[in-house]
Amino acid sequence: MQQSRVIAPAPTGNVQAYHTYETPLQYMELSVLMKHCSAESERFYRGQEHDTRYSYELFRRALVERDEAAWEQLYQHYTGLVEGWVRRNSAFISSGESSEYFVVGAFTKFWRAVTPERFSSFPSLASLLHYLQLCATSVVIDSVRAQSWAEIVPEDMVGADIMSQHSPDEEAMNRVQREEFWHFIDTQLHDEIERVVVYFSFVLGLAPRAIFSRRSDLFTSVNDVYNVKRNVLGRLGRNAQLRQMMAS
Amino acid sequence: MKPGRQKSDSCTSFLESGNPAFMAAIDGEADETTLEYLRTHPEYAHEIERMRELQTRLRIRLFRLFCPSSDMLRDYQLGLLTEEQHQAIAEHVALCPHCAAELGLLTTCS
Repeated sequence: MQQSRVIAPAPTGNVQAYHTYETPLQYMELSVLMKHCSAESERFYRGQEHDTRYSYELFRRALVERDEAAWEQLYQHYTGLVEGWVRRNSAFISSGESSEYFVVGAFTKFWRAVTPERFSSFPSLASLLHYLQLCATSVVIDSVRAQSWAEIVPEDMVGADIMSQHSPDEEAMNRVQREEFWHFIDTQLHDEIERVVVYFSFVLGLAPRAIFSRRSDLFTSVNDVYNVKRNVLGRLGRNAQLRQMMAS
Repeated sequence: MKPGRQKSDSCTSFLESGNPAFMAAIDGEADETTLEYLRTHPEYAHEIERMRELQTRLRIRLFRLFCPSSDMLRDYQLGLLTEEQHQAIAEHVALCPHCAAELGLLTTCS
């Protein structure tokens, strides 16, 4: 293995005594750094003592300096590990997506979340890898959310505007519109009981039995939930302004 | 049906019937007795479908409106949020079974 060392004669002039100086990590050539990373990763996988400094430096260059070459090496070095995490996730199996989709998504989230300012929150390689693993899990969660969303929308109501990918600005606007819609609904409700039924029914998507199970402090039986829901849906269904809002 | 009403008034909205079991049919929670009654009274089918569609439209616009992103849940799990953000998400997770399950997934994978 190529090592970066500077050898100098000892002050006494004894040529057999030398000081050796290793290149500081931040100045180490990337190719040399990667050889160290690979070697230490191999030692880790064999259950041997290993030095995490090299891989930590690789992360630092990629995330603090935003060094593209370092990022590419980091991606190549850890893609197998991330894929293993994804494949072991129970939600991955039912997602129908390829593991590559989640691997790319995990690294993308990681890159965006660990800014140069935030890097100091991760003082060790273990903490960085832990966060990378959580990024992989959150990609899976996003996929599951999309699936559950699709389950509440009947096929005949699926339109391009509902299911298409939105830009961040469009998503923000969409959220604002939905919040305004909620505020309008809220103005049509008579009391906290109705608010609970509406929130649990439409925001959380729970059926009346589940609502009663969670809020048995408010209702004598599930019939109470049905009655409140009946009144609210009847009132909302007769509201011309609401019908117009939902038609737009 | 109220006494004295004409037969055609049997098609009066089942919402006005006051029978909570009919509402159960919208959410697929109706018992067999109710389902059998509805099968023999198809005049209620249109009303049930109308309510079901209204419910779907409401859910499309409101479903998980207040849920934090998975990125926020991730950072909440690691304690990387501000105190205010942390408190807000903690209160939400206590209420939302979906976020609670996702947080469980993040915790398990850790």
